[in-house]
Amino acid sequence: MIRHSKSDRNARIEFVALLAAFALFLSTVEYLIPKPVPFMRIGLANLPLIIGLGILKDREYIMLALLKVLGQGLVTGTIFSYIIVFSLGGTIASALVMYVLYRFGKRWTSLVGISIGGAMASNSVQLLLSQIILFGDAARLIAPPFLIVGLVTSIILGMFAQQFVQTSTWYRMELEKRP
Amino acid sequence: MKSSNIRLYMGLLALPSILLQDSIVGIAIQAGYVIMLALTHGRRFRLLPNIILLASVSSAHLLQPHGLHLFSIGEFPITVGALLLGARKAFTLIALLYLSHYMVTGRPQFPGRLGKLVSLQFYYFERITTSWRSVSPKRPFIPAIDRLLGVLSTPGNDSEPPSSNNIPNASGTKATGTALLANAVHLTILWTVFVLAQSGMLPTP
Amino acid sequence: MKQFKLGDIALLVISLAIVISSFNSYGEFTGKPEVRVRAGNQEWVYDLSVDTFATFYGPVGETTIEIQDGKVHVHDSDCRNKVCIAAGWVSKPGDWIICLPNDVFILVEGTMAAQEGGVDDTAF
Repeated sequence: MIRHSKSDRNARIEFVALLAAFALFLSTVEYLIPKPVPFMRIGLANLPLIIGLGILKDREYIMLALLKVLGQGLVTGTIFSYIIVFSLGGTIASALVMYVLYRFGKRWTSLVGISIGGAMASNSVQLLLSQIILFGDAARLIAPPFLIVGLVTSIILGMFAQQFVQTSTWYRMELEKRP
Repeated sequence: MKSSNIRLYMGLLALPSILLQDSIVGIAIQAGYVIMLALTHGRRFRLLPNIILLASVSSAHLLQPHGLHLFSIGEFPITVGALLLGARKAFTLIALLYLSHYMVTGRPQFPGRLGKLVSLQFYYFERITTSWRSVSPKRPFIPAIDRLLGVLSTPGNDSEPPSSNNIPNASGTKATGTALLANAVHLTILWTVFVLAQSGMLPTP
Repeated sequence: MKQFKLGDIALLVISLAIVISSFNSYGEFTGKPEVRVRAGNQEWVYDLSVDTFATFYGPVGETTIEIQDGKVHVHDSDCRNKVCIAAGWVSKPGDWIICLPNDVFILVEGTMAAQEGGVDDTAF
């Protein structure tokens, strides 16, 4: 049985925190990009989650998703408002879908497909929530452009993630650290 | 009670008074008060995004006409009730937003392992934001990121990752006393508005 | 970036299908059945599919309508004969109820019925 030394565990915690910090960074970047409609989300912050799929353990993956939501909530100050509900719902949905897709479909899809799946899940859940909480039936009017933007950006994001995972030396080193 | 958590608790206790608010005048007052709180504690208030929020939520509710018919755009009736309902929801959202802005200004410490993780997350966040310029995200994008990550993975030149005892805003008991008092006042005011609205001000569903 | 797999395409197709189907909702928002009420020289509009009560004021007193389950009727009125209440529930576009003494006129409008093939019980 492999005994995990304390430094191993610490290193893993640091790794998760690092990815979480990147998620935070990317959400800030996305926050600063001017959007015609405030609710259009590009989902940049999902990138660390996608990249983490191949390396993180299940528990760490969940932690990462949680940290992503918490961090975003704290920084944008939305943590106790309705908005965190959207963030939480969307992130849980996409994390779940991406996990399942990766776990069972790794052979058939690249990170692009996974990114698409995650984004569609996230956006659908957020539309549903916005219909219940904020807009009522009118949410269905926003659906088409919202979904289209999400689809397109998720494809780009997925392609980037795939490229990153294949060419990054840092990624390869981290991968080697965990047999 | 840590002084950094006082605003957090106050906000949590004030939450129901905002969420259960039925009166549009009431929620507007509460929102105004909370915005003022946030402003006086360092947060900015940008008018445009809030106006857009107000307008979009209100107009979205026009799709379910309710109440006095003002005029029509073609076939489409613009009703007062629908606008007020939408406005109330928008104000509620805005109030919650700025309340949580305020709650966070004290840099509250979250307890437990999760709290420690969050502090670590923010530690790395600070490092990313300070060093990403120097790694210059140029055209060969991914190698640049690799360099950045490499820099980060090795322990930094200055501060160590924060231990759980790191309270950025540890104040003495005197400061805690006035903070307690001030927040008690805020809490009372918000709840007073709620009670007043429940017993008679301009209510609108 | 050059290795798109089968699953990617599949997910893309599914997503496109979802996006396209979301365009369907654009048709729903025109012609929704409404209840238009004229009392005095003002007009009120209500969505027939949203359950609610509404009260109007006229020369004789108050007249209250109730909208429930896609139908509307006069719930209560201060007029003497209460003919408007006896008129019962209406729901089809073009149906109307009137309270003459109190000058309240209720009309169901729209190009779609709230309940297709619904039976309105007019009882006298």
